[in-house]
This record gives sequence, structure tokens and C-alpha cells, in this order.
Amino acid sequence: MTPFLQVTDLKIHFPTEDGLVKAVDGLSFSVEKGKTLGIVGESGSGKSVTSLAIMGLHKETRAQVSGEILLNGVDIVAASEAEVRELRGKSMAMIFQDALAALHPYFTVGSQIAEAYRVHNRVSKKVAQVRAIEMLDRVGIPDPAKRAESYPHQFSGGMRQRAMIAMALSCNPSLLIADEPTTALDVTVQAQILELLGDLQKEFGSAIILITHDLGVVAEIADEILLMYAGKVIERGTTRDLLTNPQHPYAWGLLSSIPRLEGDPTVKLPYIEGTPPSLIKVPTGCAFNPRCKYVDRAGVDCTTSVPQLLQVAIGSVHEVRCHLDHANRVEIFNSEIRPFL
Amino acid sequence: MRYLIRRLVGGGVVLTIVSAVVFGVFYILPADPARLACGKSCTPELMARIRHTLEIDQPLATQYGRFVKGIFVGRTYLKGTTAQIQCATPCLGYSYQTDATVTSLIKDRLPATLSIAAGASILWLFVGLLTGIISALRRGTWIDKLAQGFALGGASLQIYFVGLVLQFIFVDKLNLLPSPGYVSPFDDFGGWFMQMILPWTTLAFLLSAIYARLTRAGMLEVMSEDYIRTARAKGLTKSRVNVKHVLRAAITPIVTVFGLDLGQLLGGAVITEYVFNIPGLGRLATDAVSNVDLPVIVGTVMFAAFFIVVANIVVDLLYSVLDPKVRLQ
Repeated sequence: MTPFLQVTDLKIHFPTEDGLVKAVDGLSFSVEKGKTLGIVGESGSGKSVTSLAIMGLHKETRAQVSGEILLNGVDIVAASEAEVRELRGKSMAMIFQDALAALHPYFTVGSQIAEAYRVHNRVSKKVAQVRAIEMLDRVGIPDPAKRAESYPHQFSGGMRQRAMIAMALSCNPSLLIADEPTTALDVTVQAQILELLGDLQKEFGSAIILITHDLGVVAEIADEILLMYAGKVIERGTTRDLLTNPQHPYAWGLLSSIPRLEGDPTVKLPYIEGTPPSLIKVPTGCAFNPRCKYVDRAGVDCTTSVPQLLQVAIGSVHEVRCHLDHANRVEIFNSEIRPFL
Repeated sequence: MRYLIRRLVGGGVVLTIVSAVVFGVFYILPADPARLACGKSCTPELMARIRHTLEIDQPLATQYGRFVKGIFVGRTYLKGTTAQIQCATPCLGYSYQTDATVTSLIKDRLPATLSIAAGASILWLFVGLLTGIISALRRGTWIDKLAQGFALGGASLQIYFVGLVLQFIFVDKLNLLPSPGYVSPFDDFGGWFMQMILPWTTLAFLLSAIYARLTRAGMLEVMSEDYIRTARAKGLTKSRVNVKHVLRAAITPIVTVFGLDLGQLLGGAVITEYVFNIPGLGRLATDAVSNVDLPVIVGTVMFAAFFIVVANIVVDLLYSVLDPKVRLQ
């Protein structure tokens, strides 16, 4: 079965006065219907830029997008704005981090959902409004007929994100991109929203791309994880692979820095030294080398030699971009990382 | 409703303060209206009589009290020794110099000012918004740069310059338009319209430049908002996103500024009226100042303040309609 979304060698560069910003540099992945892909990385790793490229929202900016984004056989990169517009909302939809900012402050929630539905369905405003109320009900908003008349600022944070989801799903898209959907919410509401996304996915069978910096969130609903750093994938695999058997020093750093309930509260939480690299002057060789503790164990010069994304084991879907050889990685992980997880 | 009442009371307070201040300032001035009215062959007796007639022999508080009372119930002025002048509600005073009640003077001048304000505001709103929208949508192109240049020019050139240049070209050289002045549109609509074209254009040139910049900046700001990205992500066409989503959000502050500008203009467009020889409220006020015609000064200032207060209340009410976040309970 061909995947619903197939991204091949995607590059997104922004020319700026200071130089070329390589926000995404050679990214490939695919998502099947009914599956959830988590894209994880810190700010500036290229996650959100990738999601906007899939939606074709870079078309009118100065971004230089190359490579191939095949959505159900249509190449978003090569397609015209009008062709992509037809797909937006209908085949693919997106929800954003800050739902308050992402909803128009001057229109009622119901009318905004109805509008999304009417873009791709030739129905009257009344029918669309009924659909909007139906969707609000479906995402668990109480008294939907009344709440549809409310404005976004009258909703709570969780309700706004539910409304965003209702809007995104109103045309039953096959791909839903959720860009940090729970970051602005408190933890209990986060869990509710993730559960809702999971339920809706089962019901509608759509593919979901979940973009986040929070490993806890992907752990909950993702089937596969793509770990990004400086515009490149540095590790990918099933959620289980990445969380229980991470291979990249960056992944180790991320996992170690998650606070544990049973952890010693007096011990300082470990963190990854240094700062994310500038995308204009990405470090040569392995982009992570200035922050990596294991450079001297790699056997090659990490500052000049660029590591390739290679399978962890032959035939495995688990891939990593690191010069450390497998034996070394296993040893370091078992001795220095696993005991503290 | 309670809000409206509160605002109206607030507006009343503002007008009271304005009237008291204006009254105080002008009556403290060294200029003595009785001395002016008395003329060259002035005797102390005549002087005293005039002072009594003008009521400036009374304490200031009494004068002010009578003035305020006159606004609500009208009052009677003495003229000479026997004649009486009835000044009906709302009586803003009586001008001995022009021998007319201030209310009737304002009534005479209001149509000219209204004519300028009405035509110019339609023109500047239309041109300003259109220019601003186009340059926001075509940001960085030569159209945008041209519009920006126009806006800079409009905002920098003064009415008395643009007005005179336009008069020179269209009236003196090309003879396309009649020499400036004012006729009532009810007497001669064509003549009124032809004479109003230049004042409208001149005033609108300045203001549409300001509105073009305001609109452009507002549109660009809204265009970078998250909710515009959402609208595009829904699959809306670009024009629909721009017209419905961007403009709807960008127009709200412009409506506010427009209301206030219009309110101010209704109090008199002084420079425009002078340049185009139009007998409006602005000229009534400035002429009164140069003639030290105190009742007229107080009356016109009060009238202008009234428009500004009303414009403020209207704008706030309008804002509550336009912006759901400030919608009233």
C-alpha cells in the first residue's frame, strides 16, 4: 500500500540578509492512513516549517521549497496555488499551537467552522451551521448549538483547541497536521485533547502528523517518531524503538532530561549542554557535534564528516544518523543512560 | 443602556468643564468688550450702560450661570435701553457686534461646514482605504511604492499649499471650475457641487494619505496573524481571505479614527474654509477671535466640543458592535 503522504528529500530554505537559512535540509518520511507520526525536535529544528510546506502555505512567502511532497499522488511542491488550495481543508487540515491566536477574534466559532465546511461543500449557510454544531458536539463541547454562537475569547483554552479540531475535521480530511496542539494547555486538558485526537483518528481513519517538542505527548499517541535536529532527521523509528532503545546522543539527552516521578528531587535534572545551532551557520560534519559528549569515541572526525541516516540493524525501520558504531552506542546507552531513565 | 447613560453623563460633564474653562479664559482676557462696543466718543455713563447691557458688570459665576441656563431654557438680552432680544433654546449667547444670536450664526454657517465634511469624508475614506488595501496586498511592488509616495506627499503637504495650487490650476488656468465660495445645494446644486470639488479634494488628499498608511499598516499587521494562516489552511481563496478575514479585522481601528476625525471636522475646517472662501463654522470662530466677539467664541467652541463628545460616544458604541471582545452586556 502506498502511503497517503510521501515526503522525499524536502528542502526548505529562506534567503535572508544574513545568509541562507536552511530550515529543512533533505527530509524524507511517509505517513499511512490511520497512523500517527510524531515529529519531535526543539525550536528551530524545522518541524513547523515542514508542516507549513505540506499545507503548501509557503507558496506566497520567500521560502525556497524543493523536493517532493506527494499527497495522495499530488505533488504539493510542484502544484499550483489553486490546486493546493483545493486540497487544503479537504484532504489535509491543520491545527495550531495557540488556538486563541489561530481563531479569528471577530467571527463566532460556529461561523468559522461552517466556513471551513462550505469551502469544499456546496451547501447553504444553514446546512453548514448544522454541520458546525454537529462537529462541536463531536469534539465534546457541551451545549454546542449555544456555544457555536460564542466568540473564541469566550471559550476556555481546551475548548478552543477542541473547536480548532472540529474546524479541521469538518471536511473529513485524510491527513491532519497537529502543530504543538497541546503546548498551550494544562496537563489534564492535554490528555483530553490527545485522547480526542486518538478517538477521532479511529473514527475517521485519517493520518496524523503530530508536531511537538514533548516526548510525553508523542509517547501517548504516535506510532512512529521522527527526531529532528537542525533541519535533518537524526533518528527515526517506532515509538517503542525511540523511547526504549534510543540510539542518538541527542535522543539520550532528551530522554534523560524528562523529570521522573520517582526521581530524587535533590538531584539536578540533566540537560543538553549548549544551544540549538544557527540555521545559517550549521556546524560542519554532524550538526550535533558541538553539544555531543561522545565525539572522541566516534572514531571519525565528527566536525568534518557528515553522518548518514543508517539502519540500526539490517532490515530495521529504526534509523540513526550518528558516527558512533552500534557496539559503542549499546555500551554507552546501557552504562550511562538506561540506569537513569 | 446603562453604559449609554453613563457615557452621556460623562459627555455632559466634559462639556460643562469645557464651557467653564472657555468662559473663564475669555472673560478674564484683558480685552474689554464694552470698550470695543463703546466706540470713539465714549463717555463713562455710556460705558457703564453698555457694561450693564452686556451683563459684564455681574460676577463671572452669575454670567456663567445665566449662560448655562440660556442653553436649556433660552434667555432675553437687552439691547440699548428698551429693545429686547429673545434668544430661544438652545441659546448660546448673543453677539452684539453682529447683532445676532450665536445659535442663529451657527445655524447659518453649519451647512457649509457640513458640505465640506460630508463630501470630503466619503472621498478620503474611499481613496484612503482603497490605496491602503492595494498597497498592502501588493507590498513591495511599484504600486505600493507609488502609493507610499502619495501618502507621504499627502501627509506632508499642507492644505493651504495644495488648495492654492489646485485653485491656480483648475480655476485660474484651466477655467474648469468656478471660483471658490459657497452656495446652498438647495438653491443651486450644480454650482454647489462644482465649488465643493476643490475643497473636498484638498481635504481628502491630506486625510486619505493618512488613512492609506493606517489601512496599509493595519492590513499588514493582520496578515501576519495566526488566524489568517488558519483561514488559508481552510482552503479559502486568497481574495476571500483578504476581503473577509483581513479587512474585517483591520477596519475596526480605522472606523474609530474616522469617527473622531469626522467629529472634529464638523466643528469647523478652519484652513480649508479660509483657503476656499467658504463661510463655515471654522471661519465663524476665527473671525470671532480676531474681533473679540466673546459670545461667538464661547458658542463655537462649545459647539465643536459637543461634536467631539458625540463622536466619541458614537465611536465607542460602534466599537462595541465591531469588536465582540468589547461587546456590551
